[in-house]
Amino acid sequence: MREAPWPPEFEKLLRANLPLLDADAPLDPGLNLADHGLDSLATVGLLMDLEELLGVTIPDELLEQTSFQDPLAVWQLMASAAGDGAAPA
Amino acid sequence: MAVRPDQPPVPAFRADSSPERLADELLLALARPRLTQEVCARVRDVLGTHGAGLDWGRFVDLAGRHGVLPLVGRNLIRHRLAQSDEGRPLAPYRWIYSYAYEGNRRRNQALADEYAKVLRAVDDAGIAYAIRKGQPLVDTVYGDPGARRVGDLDLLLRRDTLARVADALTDLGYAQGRQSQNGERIEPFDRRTQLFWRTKLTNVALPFVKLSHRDDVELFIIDPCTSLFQVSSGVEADVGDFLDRRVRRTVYGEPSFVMDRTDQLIDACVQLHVEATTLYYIEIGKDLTLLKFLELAELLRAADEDVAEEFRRRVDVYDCAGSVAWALHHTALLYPDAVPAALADGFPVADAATLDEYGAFDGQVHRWESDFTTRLFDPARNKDVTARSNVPGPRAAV
Repeated sequence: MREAPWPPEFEKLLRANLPLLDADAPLDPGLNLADHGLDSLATVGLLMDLEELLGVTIPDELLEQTSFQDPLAVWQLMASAAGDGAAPA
Repeated sequence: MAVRPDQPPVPAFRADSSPERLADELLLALARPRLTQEVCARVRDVLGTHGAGLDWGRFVDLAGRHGVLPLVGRNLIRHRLAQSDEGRPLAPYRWIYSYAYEGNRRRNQALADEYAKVLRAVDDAGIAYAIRKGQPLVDTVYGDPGARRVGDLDLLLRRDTLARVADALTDLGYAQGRQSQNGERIEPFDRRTQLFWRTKLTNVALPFVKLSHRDDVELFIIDPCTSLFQVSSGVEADVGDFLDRRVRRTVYGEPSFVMDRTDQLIDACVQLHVEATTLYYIEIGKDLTLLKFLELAELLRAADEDVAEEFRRRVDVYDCAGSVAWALHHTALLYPDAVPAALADGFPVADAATLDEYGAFDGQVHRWESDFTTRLFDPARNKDVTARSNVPGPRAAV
């Protein structure tokens, strides 16, 4: 199985915000997050939790460029915010 | 389009109106940029006959809530409606009205001095902008710096210029935050508010504020806006189109830019609909403001056939006919002479049932228990609204 491009902690946090994703279903990088229960308020909460987890603050310009539509987009956002590579704090 | 009379019809006060209803009718009569001799005579007659029994507390309260206290104050004083020909007081506490108008004029001068600096700074930074609402309306509709309370400076901008705007405003002492409890500091918005506004309310940015150190101005507020349309409306409009059409105008004594007349009309219609139906505004009692209907009516009165034709075209381009229909329908209820039938007929209300709905922009549709004219002057109209806005942060522009 292809290794996820993100650390387990990221996936755990993301899954906690996807109430419509089965626990044993893979978190596909292209999974539509809105379709699996991530609404606008939850997105904000998720970003706050990810900032705290990874010890980063997402710059405004990156926020505006991101669609948050799938896990890969969210991970790439956090990775960009962290610079060389995001890692749990 | 038929030429509309410059002068609205004389208000018809009902002989059997309750003291509360009389206050409402008086407010409608006096909240006008210009009063004709006929209107003045009618008001003086009504006040002479029924003034003692009128609910003046309600009148002042409603005038304040609807943003028209300086205007009605000016009209009462300027046309000497607060006293009879014999000098008998017809309206108690005449000084409330004169203070409201004169104080507002001084306040607006303070805002003008500050916002002129902002316009210079934005211009010096080479940032393309157009002023929305506010002072351009004061100049166009009233021609009187004291008649209309101004709050913030609304700037329509390209989103990719926001960082430069932030730099220019920071240099002038502005910050994105809220006033502290003691009023002496600006505290940054919490992270949740910042993230919500930056990811969900992409048509605006969090306001930039600066302490004024004046009793009559809480804060100087700059409201950046990057689209006239709510994200949830689904309307996709290139702000560059609006900026390309902007016109030069001297505002606050500074060579500046405002939206062209047609775009001002669109903005007024869309904003009226948004405010009337969005939980954010309903919660703070700013959903129905007579001032906004009055100003749309005045913009319509000033629109010639060319503007009307271009207005129809652009509404079609931006697919905002629903908001326009709502705004024209309700403005016509208050100012029937201001909304030409030819224009209104071009924007029929698709479903009359939607006229009393709210919450659509919030993704949760509800229905008012009472109709528009009942709600307009009911300060407690939101008491039965249980739905809540999920927008955190300042209760300013959305």
